Amino acid sequence: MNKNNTITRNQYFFVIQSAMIGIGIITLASGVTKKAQQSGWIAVILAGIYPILCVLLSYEIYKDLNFVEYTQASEQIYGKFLTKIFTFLFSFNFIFLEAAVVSGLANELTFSTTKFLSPYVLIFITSALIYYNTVDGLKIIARLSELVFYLTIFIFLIPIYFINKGDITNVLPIVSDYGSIIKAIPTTFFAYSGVELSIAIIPMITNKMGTKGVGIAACIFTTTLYTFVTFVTILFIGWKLTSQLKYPFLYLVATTEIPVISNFEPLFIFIWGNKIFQTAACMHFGATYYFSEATKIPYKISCAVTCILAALLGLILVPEHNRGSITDKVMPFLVGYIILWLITAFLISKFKKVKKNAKA
Amino acid sequence: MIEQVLVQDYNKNLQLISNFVAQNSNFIKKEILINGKINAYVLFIDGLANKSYVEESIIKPLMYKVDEDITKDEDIYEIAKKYLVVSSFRLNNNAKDIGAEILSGKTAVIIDGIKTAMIIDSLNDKYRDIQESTSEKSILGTRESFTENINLNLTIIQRKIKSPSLKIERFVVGEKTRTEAALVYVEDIIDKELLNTIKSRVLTVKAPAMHTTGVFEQFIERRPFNLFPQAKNTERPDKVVFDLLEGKAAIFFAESSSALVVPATFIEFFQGFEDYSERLVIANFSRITRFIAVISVLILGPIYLTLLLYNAELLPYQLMMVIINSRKGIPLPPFLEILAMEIAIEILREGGVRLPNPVGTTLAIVGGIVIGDAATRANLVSHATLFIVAITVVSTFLIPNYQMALCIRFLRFPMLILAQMFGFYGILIGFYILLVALVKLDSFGIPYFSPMAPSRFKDFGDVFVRDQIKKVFNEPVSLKPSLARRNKDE
Repeated sequence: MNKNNTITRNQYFFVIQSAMIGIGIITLASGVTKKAQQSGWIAVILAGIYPILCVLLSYEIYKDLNFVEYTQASEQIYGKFLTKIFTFLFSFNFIFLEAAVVSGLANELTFSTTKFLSPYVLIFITSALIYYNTVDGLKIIARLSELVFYLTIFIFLIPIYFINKGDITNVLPIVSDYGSIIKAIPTTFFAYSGVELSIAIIPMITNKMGTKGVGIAACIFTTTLYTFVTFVTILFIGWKLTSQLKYPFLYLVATTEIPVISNFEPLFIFIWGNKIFQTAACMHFGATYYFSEATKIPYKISCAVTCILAALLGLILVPEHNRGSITDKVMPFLVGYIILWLITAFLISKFKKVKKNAKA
Repeated sequence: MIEQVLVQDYNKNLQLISNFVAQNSNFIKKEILINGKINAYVLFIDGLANKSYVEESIIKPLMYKVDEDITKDEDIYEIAKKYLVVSSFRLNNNAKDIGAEILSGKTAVIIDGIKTAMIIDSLNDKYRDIQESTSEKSILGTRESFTENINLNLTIIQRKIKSPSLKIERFVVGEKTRTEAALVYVEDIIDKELLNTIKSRVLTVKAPAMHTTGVFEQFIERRPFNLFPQAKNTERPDKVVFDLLEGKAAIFFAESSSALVVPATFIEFFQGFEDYSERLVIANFSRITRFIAVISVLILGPIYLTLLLYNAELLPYQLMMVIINSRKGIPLPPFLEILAMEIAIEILREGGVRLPNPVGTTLAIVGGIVIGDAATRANLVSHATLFIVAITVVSTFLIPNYQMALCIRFLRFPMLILAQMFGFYGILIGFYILLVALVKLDSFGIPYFSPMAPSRFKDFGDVFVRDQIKKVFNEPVSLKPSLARRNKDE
């Protein structure tokens, strides 16, 4: 095991929540209210099952295989040929996610505080920054996730300011239509994506006792934050306006006047921007790790290659409506692939374990 | 190859030793007769060795008290033991070593017919008295600071930690300067793994000269291009004692009035020593003010620039009007306006440091007022800009550590350039690059951002705010790498 890639059990929590919480904070409410109207926040809670499923199944698979590294585990389950293909697919998954996050940041910044810069310039600078963060391995990413996590707490505090300013009728009736809530779930997949990183990093945790609980805690934290943000947004500006806006939460934070900097928007973007860099770094690690495992190219070179690929892919995802439509189309396939991989791997690993026990 | 081992002829021995000692006028080669018949030389460097001490405690007893013959090498040990009025001496027969000892203030006695020399401690310890630190002032702490006398500095530490676990390991560094140094630690507190890491780096330094702790610091650090100090320089004994009891080590040098404490973490550079003497709430208020000041130094100027240049819409109307009115008729663009003022302030401050203390302070204050007033009257700088720059300058004084203050002061320039180039995004990336650089850094294997990253929750009682004093005075687990490895917590 590469020493630069080992993390502690606590750091696993920080990395997992860091990998998920990102663009979703400002865009999630818009997507879910389009389908589930004022009950969109319930769809966010229900969709929280996906990340929990991911961390649980990943843990169970590795537990049955004595926490061997990803490639070894995958080869034991799927064989060498399929592992190669799956590893490339995982790498593509993370490259796509990173591109979507980086272009999402560029789109948002050109929409709000940095109108004078081209999104393409922003994508390249951000990608270079992500490379600098990721090139030394998961240990540095995990440490930074810990620091940035404390900034996330401030993201929690901003909606608290608005909670008593909303109109309760905006979220009533609480459940409008069960079918539409279910239909809204796929729109949340992008917000929860990144959790698949647990498939790669569970073997890298030094103390594996309690890993399962820590993973679930990270998922619950993320789901709570997302639900809270979505709920407050609907409560304050109503589902109709929320569904029409690109960045409803940003609209929310920009509505209140505060001294010196007019409103919460710059403060929010400062905190959230750091969070996005970290989310992209987590995804970039996933992309690099799988790419390096699939091609056997050294980690540092893989890091540069995947960084360029993600930046180039990010260029296609400008402007925001492009990004939205492409991610909406691609995400269900990627999530489907990951769930399928996990369930199959889980069943095979269990079957192998039972067989092994029977022999013994 | 010069022969190094002493022979029986004392004149030949004098020549051998002289090869390793510069033939300056203060190199004293006093020829004496022991017991009225035995020729001998007393060798020392006047000034470096205490002349009256040499005369009273070495020359006088040898000339007038000794009444026995010295025929073999073993005799001189008995002679030294019996007649010399000195606290310590040793024997040596290597001319090179003897030369080095003379150069470090000791006295050598070579006797005719004997192949061994007596080396006696006679270092002249006339140094400046213990004074109050000028660079690290303290209101509630002790008044004393280190001097250039390494022995006195070590004594101050020993006086404060009366424990048998306090270890002092002497070593010499600098091939030309042969500077005496000491590594100090508390054996039963410091982590063994950490101590080994420190020793492996500190005791293996190869350098032609060693002047100050600052020079030594650069020899032992791993990332020379990183801006942040990776060891802590201090001239306050109370700070060193506090750090030693936390499980760190301190390095002292002869002729240097500060100690180098290793390892160092980022947060501790902002923790004032008074924080522990003051009331809990007051101490925390001061500490939070300090962190706000650091953030102000780094981003206040860049934010002001961004708001003026790119995001005026974020300013409330009334505030915008105030700034517009203050900027009327200013020909310089905001970036140059801020940069010019910042550079002017740096020049003033640098000038103030070089001048004698009262003059320097006057120059900094009067110069600041005069230049600021002249710049605003000449319509070169707006009042608002002057106000922002003044706040950032005053904020830098809140950082308790000089090295860190220098670093933070420097960082505001790249932040300003990033803000000029990319606006708000520039500040964002500048801040993030700083975070990454800090997280990547470690000091002797201890992560620089500990106990925040990696999180050591047990040490959270003394980070941005401090807990009750009885909870703070624990040995930090962040400084125990072997414990982390044992608990699989790294």
